Amino acid sequence: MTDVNLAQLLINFVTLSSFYSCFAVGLALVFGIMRVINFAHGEFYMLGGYAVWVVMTVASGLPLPVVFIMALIVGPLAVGLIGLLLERFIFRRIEENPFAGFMASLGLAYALQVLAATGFGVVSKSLPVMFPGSFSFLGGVITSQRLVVVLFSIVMMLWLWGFLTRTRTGRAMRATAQNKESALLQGISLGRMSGLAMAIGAALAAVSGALMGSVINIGPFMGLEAIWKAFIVVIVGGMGSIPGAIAAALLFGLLDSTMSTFGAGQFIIMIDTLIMLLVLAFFPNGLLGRDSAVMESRTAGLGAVDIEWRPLARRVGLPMLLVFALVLPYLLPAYLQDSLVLFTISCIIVMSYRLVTTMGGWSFAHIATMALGAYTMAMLTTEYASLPFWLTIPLGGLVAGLFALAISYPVLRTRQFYFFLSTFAAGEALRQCFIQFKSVFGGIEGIPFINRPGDILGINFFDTVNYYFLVLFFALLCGGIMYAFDKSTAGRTVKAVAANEHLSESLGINTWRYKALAFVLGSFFVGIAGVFFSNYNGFVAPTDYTTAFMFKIIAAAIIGGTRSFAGPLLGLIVLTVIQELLRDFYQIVPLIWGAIIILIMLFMPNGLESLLARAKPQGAGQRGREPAAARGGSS
Amino acid sequence: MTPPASASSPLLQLVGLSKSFGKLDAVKEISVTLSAGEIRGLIGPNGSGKTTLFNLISGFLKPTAGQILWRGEEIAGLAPHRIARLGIVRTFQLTSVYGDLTVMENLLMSSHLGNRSGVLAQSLQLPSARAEERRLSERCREILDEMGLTELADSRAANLAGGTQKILGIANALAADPILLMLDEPLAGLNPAEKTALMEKIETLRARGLTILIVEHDMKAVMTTCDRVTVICYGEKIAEGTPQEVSRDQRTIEAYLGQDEAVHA
Repeated sequence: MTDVNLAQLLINFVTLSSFYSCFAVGLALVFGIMRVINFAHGEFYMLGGYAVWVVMTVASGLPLPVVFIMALIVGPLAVGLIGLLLERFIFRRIEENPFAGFMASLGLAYALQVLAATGFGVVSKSLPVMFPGSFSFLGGVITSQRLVVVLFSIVMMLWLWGFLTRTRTGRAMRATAQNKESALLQGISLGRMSGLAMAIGAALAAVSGALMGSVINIGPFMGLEAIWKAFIVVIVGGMGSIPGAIAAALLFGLLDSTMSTFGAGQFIIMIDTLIMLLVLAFFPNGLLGRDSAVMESRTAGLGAVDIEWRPLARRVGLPMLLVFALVLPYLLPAYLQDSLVLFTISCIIVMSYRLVTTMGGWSFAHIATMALGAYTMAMLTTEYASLPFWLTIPLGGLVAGLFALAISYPVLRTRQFYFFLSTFAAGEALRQCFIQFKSVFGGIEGIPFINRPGDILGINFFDTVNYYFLVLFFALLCGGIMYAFDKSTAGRTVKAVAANEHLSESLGINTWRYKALAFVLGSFFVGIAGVFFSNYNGFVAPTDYTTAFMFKIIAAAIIGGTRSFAGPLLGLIVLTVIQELLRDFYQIVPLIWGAIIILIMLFMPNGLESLLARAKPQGAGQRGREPAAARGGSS
Repeated sequence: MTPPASASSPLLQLVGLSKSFGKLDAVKEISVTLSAGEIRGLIGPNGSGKTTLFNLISGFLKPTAGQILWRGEEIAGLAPHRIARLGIVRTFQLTSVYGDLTVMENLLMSSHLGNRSGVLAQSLQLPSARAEERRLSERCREILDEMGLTELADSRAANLAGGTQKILGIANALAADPILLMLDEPLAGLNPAEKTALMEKIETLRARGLTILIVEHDMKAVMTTCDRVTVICYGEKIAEGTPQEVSRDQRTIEAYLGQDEAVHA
């Protein structure tokens, strides 16, 4: 760009901001009323984009602008209806458990992605230009298509504003967002408000998707990119605050358009994330947000059964398990030996993930942190230094731990919802850095030709089984340390802080320090897992460390439960067995995981324990619900 | 009833302490002086700012104006855990126990402050850390004994009756080795028998030389246990003195009239 055109900058700013607000406001609306972060908001957006394509295919004879307008009506109506149904049959049933709501929406997001990928194909589609031509404005240029995006977004915003301030229903919705109890006393039906919020939010997302789909390409994973930005917008604005979301949308619209106009587009993700972290450091509830509800985030899952057989497991189980692990590779065909190595590495990941969750927050940056370990190993053994592989094992862990430490101050000050979202944004930003800074990290192709370690005592690590033993050794070592930490005073203090932070503070415990300890330690171990993962693969690429991978780890933790040490491992075994059984239908595996998560959240948010509770209403039943009651009250 | 040792130097001084939330003044220029060894009652109608005052002293809120002096040193604005380490330990209205832990584990967790071994030594279970733990558990057993919880040492806290949980909450606070113990409505939600038992326990704490600040609605308990009583209403201090003086105070009677008849008890 030779000279900067202010008018062009203004046009870009208006375009971006109007899109950001239209998309993020729906998310804020749903959160404000239902206290649910809808991860599937991005998928509603994606469906809105595909609606244009579907309408175009069905009504192929009509002129394109007519098709577009039709799609803008049909798409949001259909997606709004989906939102309404999902609220009725999923979210309303778990409304008292925001954690379950969030996790269910995560499962939903993946299920919808897989459905879209199967139905429409993985390859993204570009829509034809519907409104050809462009306009000049004070020397800047805007295409007609983008002008339509801007106008339509503004119309939607004005309509929403009018609806929320001028109509009885809209005012009732705002009242509900402010105070559920008194709204109830006013005779407002909460269920109706939630359904309406979800329908409007979904429709707004679909409108954004249709609008953006006409400018960029549509694909099954377009929602993931958009939701990242929406999360940052609602975090900075203050969750659930619509004016906050719009203010933050304007802020980021200005920032992003300025950066891209000045040719610094590759820094957008980094800068935006830094701003988010900065805002959180000073305003843990965002700029205009109020304190969000606290929720129980430790799940029981299958691990709950562990309590029954723990004494037995200790005496007989562990040695037998060890023997089994040593013999197993020889019993398996070659292709399963490969899975076994990856499974063992995943064991380190889920154990370290559980360590992070003991401090009360479910990080979404775990897999991106793992990638840091992998990149450290890759760069130090190939490009920048020729360090021996062995040395990069602790170094990879260290770099991952340092990253966690760096983001821990803003991120750990936040409460649950903000913690999910800010770690998600930070992790995604890190992954995008690997892609954007091609000269350092090798871009989307990553770093190839990573060598496995040389022979030790004549053991050749190019042999899969030998590599498995190497990984098994480190999994046992890391697992042993994590287990010892879990049982130690420090580990128990971490859990006590998570159970009742105010009480712990009032007893003199430096709560931040213990949370940071678990966060950094868990990140250290997942960094080590990253070193092995990419070393085994022989290359490291950002495509290995996707949100889908993160999703698998979260699914393992949910299915297994995080109360006991063995829980997530149990969950991982279940997932791995499903994955291997469905080897020929690998595309639909995430769909099944998504469905399992939704079902678990619907019918047993506390895992198997809640099933036992139903069978036996008195005894075990209370267990799952107690932690909520054990929370100290201070305002 | 022994008279308060008011001659000794002040332990805690609130000087012109104010806290406002937006336009609402929750606490307005309150000045209170606590002497070492006294049991002070803090009373006032609902919403008068008692809990806000508690949160200010314990560091959960930062004052808008004024000073909080602990043995003459400013402590306003310190993090809650730092204030606890100075010896100011509070309980909470709702719950002051870790429901998932047993009674003994609760106390061990609460005695965290006294643990001199570092986090690393704890994680690795070094001999020094083990010795330290033995010393702490000894002390916790003494507190259990004193509070009459020894038989329940291995019960899960969440399974205890409401009154017992309240006592455990106070035991937790004691394990943190307080100089000033602040009890936020310790009697709320208890039946009369539990109330009597708990007030007896609080009386025995006086013997430990503890200074105690109690927020309480139960006037009978306040009037029989406290050495001095401070009355606040709409965020302002309206009266202060011995229970007898306060119960005759015209403004106190007005503040409570029609709100809480217990004042006449």
